[in-house]
Amino acid sequence: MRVLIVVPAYNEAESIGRTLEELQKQVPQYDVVVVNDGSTDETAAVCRAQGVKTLALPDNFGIAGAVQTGMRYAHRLGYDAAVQIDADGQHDPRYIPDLVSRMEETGADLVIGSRFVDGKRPRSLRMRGNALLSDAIRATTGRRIMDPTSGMRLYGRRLLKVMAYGTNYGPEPDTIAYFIRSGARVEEVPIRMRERTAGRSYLSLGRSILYMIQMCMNIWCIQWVRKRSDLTCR
Amino acid sequence: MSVMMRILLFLGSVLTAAYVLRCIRRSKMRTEDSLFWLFFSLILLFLSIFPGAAQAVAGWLGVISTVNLVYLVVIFALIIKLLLTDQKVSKLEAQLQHLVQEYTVEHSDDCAPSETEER
Repeated sequence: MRVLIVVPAYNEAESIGRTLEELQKQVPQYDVVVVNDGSTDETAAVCRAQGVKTLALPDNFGIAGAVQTGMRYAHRLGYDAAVQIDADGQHDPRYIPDLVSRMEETGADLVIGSRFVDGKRPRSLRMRGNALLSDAIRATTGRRIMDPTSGMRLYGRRLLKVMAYGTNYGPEPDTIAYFIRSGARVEEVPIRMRERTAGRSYLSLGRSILYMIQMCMNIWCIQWVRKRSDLTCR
Repeated sequence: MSVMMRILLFLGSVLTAAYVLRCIRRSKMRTEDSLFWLFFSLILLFLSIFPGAAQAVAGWLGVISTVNLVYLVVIFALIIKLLLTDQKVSKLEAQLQHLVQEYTVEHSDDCAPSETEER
């Protein structure tokens, strides 16, 4: 199965070098593409120095726009699947083959690298939000996803296409719920994540609250009015 | 607030919400942008069903006619939305400009296609 590793990056010059090195060392069998989301620091230079294929967006479009660009590239070049890996080093590339083999074994459309497959989340506000979203998805789709906010997800070809060209397909929990309701097969594989190696997280308290409101609104209310995603064409 | 006014508010809020949801269904609107309108509809709906709340707030603010408070709420919400939309348009203009500039430079006679260093 041809898999593309998509690394969205916005001003991650401090950490992306190490992340790319690790990808080369742990999973050299998979192609890597960095989506430079209009970085104003030396992110582009770091990628160029390492000889990694980079898609340079002319401006900052946010994580959804950057990932979508990667998906579009993956679909256009005929990849069977694409996995999102954060530039900050939180995702351990060692687990990518686990995600891939689960997809190959089960024919799943989406394989999530889940931190909480055994059900135990650490006690923090962020994790309360994670649990809340897991409950929302369970209530609206019948499916229990243990780690809905994990960014390490492997998307199969059917999903690649709609994510690449559609609207409202951001790499977020609401899209997972929508995919489940559209008939996609979702699996979870246990992984461990690490602390980010450098830089600051984008999510402040204010932004996190807004994010939770948006996600709950999307999962509880809005996904019902959307037409089922057409996952038939590749 | 007269009963007629409350009915109007009720209908207005329901129709607004329905229209916004229809836009989402047809992928004509992003879910992030719909959040404002759905909350706006919810507030108007609340005021139409519970006019007592509007009356109470009107009393605090010294507004004699309750319906004037409703107008105030709607106008205020529109002003906020206008500000947010202006912000969005500014960002879109900047993005469009950068995209066009990038295209122009890439397609100029003396430039080979390459990544640009500075933004």
